[in-house]
Amino acid sequence: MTQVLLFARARELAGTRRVELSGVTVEEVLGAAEARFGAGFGELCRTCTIVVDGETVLRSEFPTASAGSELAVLPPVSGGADDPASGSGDQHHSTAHDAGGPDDGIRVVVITVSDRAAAQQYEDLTGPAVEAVAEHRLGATVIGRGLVADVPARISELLISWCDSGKCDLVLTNGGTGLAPRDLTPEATRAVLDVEAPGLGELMRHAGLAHTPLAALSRQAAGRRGRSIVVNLPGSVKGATESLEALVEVLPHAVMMARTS
Amino acid sequence: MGDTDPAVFEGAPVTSDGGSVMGAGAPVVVAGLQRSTISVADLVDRVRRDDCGAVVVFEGTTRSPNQGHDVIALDYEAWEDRTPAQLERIVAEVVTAHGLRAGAVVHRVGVVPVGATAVVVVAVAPHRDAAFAGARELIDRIKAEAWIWKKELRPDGEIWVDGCA
Repeated sequence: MTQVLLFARARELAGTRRVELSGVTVEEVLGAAEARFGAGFGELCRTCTIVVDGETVLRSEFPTASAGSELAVLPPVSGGADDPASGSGDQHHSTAHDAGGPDDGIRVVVITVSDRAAAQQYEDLTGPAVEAVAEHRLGATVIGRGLVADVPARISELLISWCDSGKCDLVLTNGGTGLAPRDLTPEATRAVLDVEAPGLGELMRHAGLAHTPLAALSRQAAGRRGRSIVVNLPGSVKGATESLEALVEVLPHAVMMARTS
Repeated sequence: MGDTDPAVFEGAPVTSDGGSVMGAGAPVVVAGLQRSTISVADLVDRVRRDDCGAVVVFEGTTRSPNQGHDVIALDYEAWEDRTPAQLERIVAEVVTAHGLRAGAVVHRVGVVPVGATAVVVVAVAPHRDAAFAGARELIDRIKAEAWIWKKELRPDGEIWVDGCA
């Protein structure tokens, strides 16, 4: 059983602040909540932030909810939309500092693909490094992050849920781009893209070759799904950050084109 | 958060004496939720420092009308177990980013009548540029990120106010 905490409108719709529900994944727990509290509650849930035992998670993420976990349903906060009438330029609250991105800052999601990191056998260092480059070099705002094992179906599912959410412009994966048997991030990515942008991979490999001939073995894919750009980065901190650096000049334009698609 | 004294917050209302650290060492971080009226003067007294020449205070007050609707009061709800730690982390990050010597935020929870102060942020720095910039980022981040929800109590009913509203 999972302890589910409800706040604000979610609490009112459910008529309770706390409820015990069964389910192994976040999706299952929220499904049980929707069955109990109705379709309106389910709809609201899709706009909520979900926090499990203190960590923000994605609905589609598989780990949850071991027995006794606490899952909180947090509706969007009131902030920022303070004064729509006055048009005070209060819309974006990037935590990053001005870094010369486009006027509507790039909203980025960083997904680390790694069996070991997903199993918490080691700490994910690449994800945070990619976030730092995205913030400082692209002026992007990191609006979400994820951690997933090297399982193509899970990777594809995460990409779909983010790209189709309308909340992000750019999804950066890292890991799973080599030649080992479980390195299948490019395949999981291509499977969900509307169109590929092979030039981005070529640019990353070209930049990598200046550092090491091994860059020729990297298989990163990239392209567009809906209005989001998806780019695979390698799994090492160095490889991932250098590859993203190589794209700094072209990604803002790619994002702009995807938004108008 | 490393340079802050956990005794200062712990989610305790700031009107309680948290034993603030006023030495020349670590920056002071104050963060909390409060059910009762916020005393701006008391809060400023807790964070002002002899080695700083600038104190910027921002008060967010409840407004009526809002978006064309009369409002009687606002009802604020927070995740009382976790929002204080979240506020504390935001203040600590802004303090570090702007080189502040102290930063504070106190947000009301519960029903706040129109015209009252719902949130106060304070940024304390040696010079005014950092204090203004720090105060601005504090209030912007708290409004955008903190797990605090507000419901408008109107003459004709109640309505939750979202960021997307």
